[in-house]
Amino acid sequence: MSSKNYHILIVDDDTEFHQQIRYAFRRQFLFSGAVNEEQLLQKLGESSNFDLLLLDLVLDESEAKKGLDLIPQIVSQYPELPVIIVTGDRSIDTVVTAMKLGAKNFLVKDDFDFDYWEQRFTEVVEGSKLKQENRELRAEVDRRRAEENEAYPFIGESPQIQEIKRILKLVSEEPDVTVLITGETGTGKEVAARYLHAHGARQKGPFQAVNLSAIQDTLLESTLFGHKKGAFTGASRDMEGYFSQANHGILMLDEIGDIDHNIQIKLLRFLETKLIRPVGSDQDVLLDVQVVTATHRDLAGAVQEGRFRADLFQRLKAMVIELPPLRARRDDIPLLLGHYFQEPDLSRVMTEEALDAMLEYNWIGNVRELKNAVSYAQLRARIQDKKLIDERCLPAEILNSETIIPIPSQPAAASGEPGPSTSTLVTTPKNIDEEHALIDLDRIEKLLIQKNKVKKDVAIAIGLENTDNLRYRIKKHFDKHPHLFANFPTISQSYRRIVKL
Amino acid sequence: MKIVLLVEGGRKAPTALFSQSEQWGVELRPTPVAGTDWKTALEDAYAVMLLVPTWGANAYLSPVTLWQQYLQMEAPSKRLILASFESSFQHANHLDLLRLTDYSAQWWEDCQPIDHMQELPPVVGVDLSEKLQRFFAGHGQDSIVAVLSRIRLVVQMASRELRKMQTPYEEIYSDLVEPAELGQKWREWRNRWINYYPLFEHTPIASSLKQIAKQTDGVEPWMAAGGQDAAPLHDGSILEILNRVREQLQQIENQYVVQKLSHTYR
Amino acid sequence: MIKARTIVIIWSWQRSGLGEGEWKVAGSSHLEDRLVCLDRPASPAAVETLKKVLTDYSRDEGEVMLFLHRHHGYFQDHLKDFLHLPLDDSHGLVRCFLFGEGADEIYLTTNARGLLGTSGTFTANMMFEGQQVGLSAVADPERRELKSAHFNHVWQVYRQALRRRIYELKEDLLGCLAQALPTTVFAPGEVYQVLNKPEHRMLLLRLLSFVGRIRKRSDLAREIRTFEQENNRTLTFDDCGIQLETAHGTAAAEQYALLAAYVLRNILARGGDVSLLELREKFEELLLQISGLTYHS
Repeated sequence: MSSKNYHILIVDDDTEFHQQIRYAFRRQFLFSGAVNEEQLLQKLGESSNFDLLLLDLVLDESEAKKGLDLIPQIVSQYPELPVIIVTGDRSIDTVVTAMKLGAKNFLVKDDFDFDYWEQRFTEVVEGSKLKQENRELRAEVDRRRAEENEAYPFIGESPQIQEIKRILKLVSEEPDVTVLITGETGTGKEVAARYLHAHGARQKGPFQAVNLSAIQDTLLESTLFGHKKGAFTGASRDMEGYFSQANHGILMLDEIGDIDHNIQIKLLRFLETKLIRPVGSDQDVLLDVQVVTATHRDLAGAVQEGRFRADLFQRLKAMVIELPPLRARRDDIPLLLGHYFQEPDLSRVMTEEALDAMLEYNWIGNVRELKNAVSYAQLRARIQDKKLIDERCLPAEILNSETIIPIPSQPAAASGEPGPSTSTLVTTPKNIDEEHALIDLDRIEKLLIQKNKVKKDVAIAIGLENTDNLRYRIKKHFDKHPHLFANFPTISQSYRRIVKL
Repeated sequence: MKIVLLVEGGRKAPTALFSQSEQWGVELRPTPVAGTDWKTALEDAYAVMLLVPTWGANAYLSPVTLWQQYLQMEAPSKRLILASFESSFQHANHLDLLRLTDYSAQWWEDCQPIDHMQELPPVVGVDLSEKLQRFFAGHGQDSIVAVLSRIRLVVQMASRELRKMQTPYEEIYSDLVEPAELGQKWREWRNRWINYYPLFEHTPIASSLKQIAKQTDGVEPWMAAGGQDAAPLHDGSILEILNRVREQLQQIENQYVVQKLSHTYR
Repeated sequence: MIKARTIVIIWSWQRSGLGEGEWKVAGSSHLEDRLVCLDRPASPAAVETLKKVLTDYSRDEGEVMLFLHRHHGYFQDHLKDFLHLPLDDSHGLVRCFLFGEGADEIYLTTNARGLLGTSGTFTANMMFEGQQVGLSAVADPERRELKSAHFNHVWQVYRQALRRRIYELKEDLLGCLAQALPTTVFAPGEVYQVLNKPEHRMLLLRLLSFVGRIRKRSDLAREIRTFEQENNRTLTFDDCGIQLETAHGTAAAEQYALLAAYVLRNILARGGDVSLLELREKFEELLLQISGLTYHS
């Protein structure tokens, strides 16, 4: 018996032929038989385990090719079951008709040849299985993608968000345009990019998101463009980069403002030519990838300061979508809370006071911070055995919040609101990039104090995956804005290997 | 003198046709086609003349299409001339036997070579071209090839088991050969062969069919005994004969039966 | 609409055969095809029964072929009875044939795609080149079904039987007389002299049968039957004029009458010259009146 053990259903009015085929291929395949349409349908109804159907075209004395009529029915009802026609009729018309109707191959009884037939049976079964596996994989990818999209819902009914959704849908119809999404950290830049993917021409292709600031500079090039075996120490095999993985889909490059010149050049080359070259390769690779970039930094400022290439910036800003901070669309906070609590009626999960506190809080970390706050509050409520979340369940920074931080896109003077002012924040930021750094460092400083300098808890509170990310974030801030750190003694102390004042 | 091969087709041509032909500068040579000599003779011939319809198997037959196909393939510059008692047969290559005196040497000159011949009207008689199609049809009562193919299938499977898999013949015989009732199948083949063979006696495939008939005589005893003897399977002689017969039939099919898949089609 | 086709065969079904009854046709495109086996020796009652059977099966334009076994006592007068049944337009065509002696296309021993075997069955064994060959028209004995190829073949053969028999007579007659070419006109009595030679005896008998000059149970009738058996061919023309009129209309019967008169007067009597061109023309005129193909493949 073949290790494959494929199960073949023979349909032929000639029972002798059944017996002969069974005998000849008894070591290779398992067989079942049907002598007419009725038996065929019965067998198919009883078992879905057949790997191949051998169908004779003439199924009774009438010499009418009834088998031809059965092919479409089988193909539509049992798409995974390949059909090979086995008959005495070799007329071209019959063959062409059978193949058009969906038969995978055609064997003429007169031409019987053991090896050839065995090969065809196996080939058709395995070809079909491969297709089936591909279909299943594709379905799995689609399912996971749908799950992912569900995990990143673009929640919001505020006029700003509605307008952004409208623009994203328009942009999604242009599968080759480069999109730049800006906005504070945690405003949902990846969510917006996924929304673009889910509604656009590339929805069947992959979606890859990579946070460039989280990848060490030395590894960034190979992570993005892939590498050949032996390209550098540790490159023990060829590896695809994010670009290749995103072929025919969308690649989201988050924190684009953080990449160095070398990567900027390579990214620009890709945007202009659609070519990449893996590290260690002498061959360019042509790819079909739509690039969505995101940053919370002021790229124009970075260009002025010479830290970002002007030509790349020109390319990236072909379509800019700016996401508002959560504090600029407070109307959406109840919706977001309803989503994360999985309960639209918030009175069933939290007290009015707790809700008010959340509505008034500045949400420096935007939606991501809100999401973490919900998790934190739920955990606290369970620990305290409370049915409703009250103020005591909320993170301390929400309760201690006193000030309203202005919306960066609206100049403080114009809005009439006071500038950034926290208990520790004394430096006046020079630009929006520095302002964000200030806000971020201030928050980390506070959390370090609150969490007794337990870095893991701080990382979780601000929505980072682990302490490495937190350390890397602090390093990035220190590299760019070392002068700010004098204001943050707890950070400086906790990360003294990085912060060398 | 123009040499013209005359296929009388189971009938007797009027003697006056020969004497009259000489006057036109034509040497009519009565040509039996069961052998292969006529194929060589055709090289020097000006035309092939068929006395139509031919007679065989107790019926009048029309072998015209088969002859036309043969000449088209093998000798497209030759003429195909039809001689008959039909008054209504209108064609440049038709000779009305009851009006011999109306023809002249020029008429022979004007006969159209096969590759420039106008379409022939149908000739009364069993259409042997259609018969040949049925001969090769894959299924049903008429097909002779279908029966042979069933026999060959069993012989091929049995040979492989015996020679390659080294399965004991007792097992092969009881599981495969005996249930296949080869003796019965062989009688069926003979029976169908009898129906067809005499029909094609006056066609260009007559010699090939004669060869096939001769070869099948070689497997007759083994088949009649229902394939009980392992030896001819062991030495491959039975399968070899069946394969040769199949090959010859394939050649005929490829040449004369249109709109069919070639046997090498996979 | 596909018309029902029925073959009724009066034969020895009872003695050692399958018995009387109806058989269907397996996988036929004509759903209503059937074969009716009856074993009724000729008698006034049997004739009445058969008339009723023919009337019933020919309803709704159904076509019927009745085969009467000579050994059951049927002869040409019976054909007239059945061919002149008063049927209206809603009835289909009825054709009648006499058969017997195992020399007709309806027998498996004559025609491998025939129907009748040995001793009231649809199966037969015959010898070919020293080999016994088994023949059968049965598709499924349990369901009493016959093979459609056999039913169709017999139907076709007999549907065209008359046309074919006349055509073959014409070809054979002209083939024989053309040996005298370039002479195409024979003086009175000359053709008869040619046909009266021993080697042309069968042809002469066919011609006599064609013009209705062979009486039943006569020596000539026995002689032509012998030729039929030896050659496995039906050579007799049973009441040709009536059959032509019934199946092909009066124009066919008139053409037949003209040809028969010419043969009787100029070939079988010394009434006048025989012109091969004229003889051919008369045959061709008659064949033109008989619709359908002479042969089917």
